Order: sequence, then C-alpha cells, then structure tokens
Amino acid sequence: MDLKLQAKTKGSKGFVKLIKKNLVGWLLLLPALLCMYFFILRPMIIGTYLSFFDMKGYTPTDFIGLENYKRIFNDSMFMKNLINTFKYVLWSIVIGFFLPVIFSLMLNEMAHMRATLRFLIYLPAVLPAASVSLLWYFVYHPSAGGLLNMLIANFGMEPYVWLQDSKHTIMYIIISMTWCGAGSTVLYYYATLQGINREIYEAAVIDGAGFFRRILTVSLPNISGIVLLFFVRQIIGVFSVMEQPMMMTDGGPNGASMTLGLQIYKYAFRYYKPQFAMALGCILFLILLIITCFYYVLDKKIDKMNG
Amino acid sequence: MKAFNDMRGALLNTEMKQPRYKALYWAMFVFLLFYAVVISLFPVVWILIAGFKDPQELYQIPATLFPKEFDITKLFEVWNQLKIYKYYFNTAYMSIGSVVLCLLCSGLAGYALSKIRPMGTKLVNNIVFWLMLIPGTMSTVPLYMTFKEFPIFGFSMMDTYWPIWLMGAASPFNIILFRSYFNGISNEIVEAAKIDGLSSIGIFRHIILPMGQPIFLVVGLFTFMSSFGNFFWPYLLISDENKIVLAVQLYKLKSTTFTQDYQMLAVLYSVLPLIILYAIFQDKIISGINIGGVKG
Repeated sequence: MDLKLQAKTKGSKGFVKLIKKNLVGWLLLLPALLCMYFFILRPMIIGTYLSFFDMKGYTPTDFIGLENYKRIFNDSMFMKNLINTFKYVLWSIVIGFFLPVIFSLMLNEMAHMRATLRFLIYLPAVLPAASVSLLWYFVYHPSAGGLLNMLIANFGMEPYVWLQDSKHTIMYIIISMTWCGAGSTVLYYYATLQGINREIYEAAVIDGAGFFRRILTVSLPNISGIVLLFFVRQIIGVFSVMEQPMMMTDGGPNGASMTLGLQIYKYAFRYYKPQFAMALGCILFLILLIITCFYYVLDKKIDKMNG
Repeated sequence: MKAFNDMRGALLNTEMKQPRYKALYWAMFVFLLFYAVVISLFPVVWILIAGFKDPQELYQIPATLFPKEFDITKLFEVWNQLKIYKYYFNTAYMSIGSVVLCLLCSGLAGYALSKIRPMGTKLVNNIVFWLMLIPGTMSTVPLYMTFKEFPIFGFSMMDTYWPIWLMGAASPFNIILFRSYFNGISNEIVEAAKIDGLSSIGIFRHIILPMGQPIFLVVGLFTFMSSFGNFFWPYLLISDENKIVLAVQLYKLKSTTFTQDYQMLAVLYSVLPLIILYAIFQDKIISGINIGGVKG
C-alpha cells in the first residue's frame, strides 16, 4: 500500500516536472519564436497573399487574381531588369567565385606573415556595405581625382567615366562587392583547408604527386562542399542585390544597373505600387527557391562522391 | 628561412629546398602580399589621404596622390560640422540594442533547444532552418506595413529603433549557432546542477553563460558590426533628424552641398570604429568564422 502510494506520488511528481520542463522551455523559446513569426514568416505569407490584390496606398481593395503579375510581365522594365540581374550573377561568378578559392589555397601554403596577410585580406569584409559602396563611388569617381582615374593618368590616359559607362556598370559594381565579400569567403575556405590532415599530403608526395596534383586530388575535394555552399549563397545574395546599385548608381545610367531587388524598392517607395512590389517579391522568391533546390540535389551528389 | 618549419599546406617543409618549389612559394607570397596591401588596404588609406585635399585640389589636373598639406585639424572640422558624434551615438545606440536583444532572445532559444528540449523541439529546429532560407528582399513591403501598424495592437514603430532591434533578435542563423555551441557543453554538468537545485534560468546564468562565453562574444561582435552598417531599414523608417544613423547620413551627404573631401572623411569616420574593433578582436572574429564555417 505504502509502496503503491509512493509510486503514485513519484509519478505525479514526474508529471509536474514534465509540465514544468515544457513550460519553461517554451517560455524561453517564445521571444525568439514571436520575433521570427512577426518579422520573417508572417511578412512572407502576407506578401504572397496581398500580391493577388489591388491596393490603395497600403490597404488592399479588391482581389484581382494574377493581374499584378500580368502588369509586371508587361512592364518593359521587367525583362531588362531580369537580364541585368542575371548579368550581376554572371559577373559575380566570373570575378567573385574563383578568386577566393585561389587565394585560400595560396594562404594555406604561407609560412611567412600569415597573421598579417589574413588580417588585411579580411579587412574589407568588416566594413559596412553602405561605406564600401560610397568608398568605391569615390574610387570610380569620373573626375580626375577619382582613384582609378589618377592611376590611368599615370599611363597618359584621359579620365574615364567608369560607373557612367552603361556597358560595364554592372561589372564595376560587382568588383566593389567582391572587394568587400571575398575576404570572408577566403577565410571560410582557409579554415576548412587548415583542417586537412597533413599526413594525406605526405602520402601523396610518396606516391609521386607534385604540388598541383596534391591541390587537385586532396585540397579541392576537401573544400568542395563549402565551396558549393558559398557558390549558392553568393548566387542567392547577388540575385536579390539592392543596396549597392541604389547607393552607387541608383540603377543608372538609364537603367543599366537596375536589378529586380531595386525595382521592388522603387515600386514600393517611389511609385507607391506596393502590390507590384509584393508580386515581384514572389517571383524573386520562386527563382531563388529553384536555385536552392538545385543546391540540395548537387550537395547530395557531392556528398556521395566523397563517400 | 626558419619559418619554413611552420608550413601548414600542401607543400612540405622538406620540399622548400628545391628551387622550383621555393620560386613557386615566393611567387604566391608576393601575389598575396600585393592583394592584401594594394587591393585590400590601399583604397581605405587613399580615402584618408584624399580627404585631406582641398576641393580644388581634388579636381585639379594632373591629380596628385598626396595633398599639399596634411592639416590634422580638418578631421576635427569634419567631426564638428558633419556632427559625426551625433551619428556615432545614434548608431551605437541602435547597434548595442540589437546586440542585447539578439544575445538574449537567440541565446535563450538556443539554450532551450539544446538543453531543455521541450516537446516539439525537432519541429522548431526544422522551422528555424527553413526560415533561414527566406530572402529578406521579398518581404520589404509587408515588413514596412508591420512596422507602420503592428498587427493586433495597431501601434507604430516608425521613427524608433525597435524594428531594427526586433529583427536582430529573430535571427535563425544565430539561434542555430547558439544551439550547436551549447550542444558541445556536456549534459552531465547540466544534470548535476539540476540535482543541486538550480532552476533552468539558474543553469543558464551560472553554467551556460560562463561556459558559452566565446559564442556570446562572437555572435555579439558580428551582430554589432552588421548592425553598425545597417542602412536600408533605418533609411526607410527613421526620418526624425535626431535619430538618423551614420550609414543613412552618409547616403544623404551625397546630395548635400558638403564638398567631396568632407564626404570622404565621413566615409573614413564610418569605417574607423569597425576597423578598430576588428584590430582588437581579430582572434575572436577569426575563431567565429571557424565556428560558423562548420557546415550543416
């Protein structure tokens, strides 16, 4: 009888404990969950929902189905901006993808001044994007006092308009973004490279592998996972780029550096058509979703390849 | 040549005696040094040098690299005329608020997900992971509407730093960082503390906080640095002249009558605190990259 009672009270004590554990646990989770709901999840749902509505200011009026989307596709700017955005991505791959891989492989070999090199290479990455954009705005300044114009003046060349040259504006903006972003990518790769056991290299040397062969067969396969991750992150990041062209050129000259992200901003806060901004946001999201799916398929394949 | 004993890459110490590997090594060294000094560092130094020029000197042909005279008082002039101190204060206020809320909310959430593990932990873990993939650009307008008139309660957060603080508090990436770091703290210590009668909050204060110090420092630093340069949302939401932050003011300077040399020194002022912070905490920041770089 006593024993039974004991078991019972112990059971209810355990029950109280279980309730308490869940209560405390959820209480601690609550602030973060609420913030994430209100500032990440809910805006996304509302944005999708309202993209099917006509709006007056910021209040939805009528459900109009896909009308907003049709209007966007019929906007002559859309195709141009979509192509521009792809150009941004393409340039960012050409300029910003291979360099960090090469730099990190080189940094990995260094025995001299390692800490100094690391410090300086990462330095641009700590600067705020707004400052970097403005800094490069001055580097590209079309007057004789712009840094690049000063440099080419030494070779007897006339000042050049840089960002105002509509053919290459996107490339110049990507160069400034790469300047800022490459440092942190290099250090992420470098951290992974440092984790490789050096005995593997030594074994490769015994097998007669030269330096480049070791890079190809040992180093690169070891960083392929994180390189792929950064590749996709870079594509996603550049695809939704907005701040940098906004600060450096405001999409100009003549729309040559406009992006979908900047168009969203302009729809929302310059033309006061928030419904278009939200519809375009959904289109952007869908494109990014497809890229992310690609990533998961590729990542699984690479994992399999590495065994 | 002693340093060659400290090789850590694919080249072996013993190989450095061969001339062709030596040449390869030094070629790579010079290349990296060139990049580090000329490409990475020089533009920042240049903005300082060029900022000291007079406006006429900036546009003169042929242009000169160094100004005719370095007048150090110009730095104070810019500091006073552009009211840099005011923007420093506002930006610091905004950034520190973000750091505090982020450490508190994300830290507690990471602790709950790692050590308390209430019912539904797995589900929350999954949700947090998927939320990380939602691009912010798509929600610009709905977020703006949320800040203008908060759902249910109907108050407005315009002209306050709350939107920035609350958005910083809800970072899925930081929650994941905290959770995986706390997973490395052994459960036995936590269990022992429970038997000693510590409450869940007590465990957080007396065990998780001291043992998780590195991750709190790293997340705090990164949050501060990214918040310091926050441009877009402060630009959209804050129009009160007394609350404008540095990055927004920089952008606005472009369309004022302040001459280019002043704007250049303003850029310098906007990067200086971060460079100093980086110089002080570089080891912590680099180790933060090692923590964050662990894939998956």
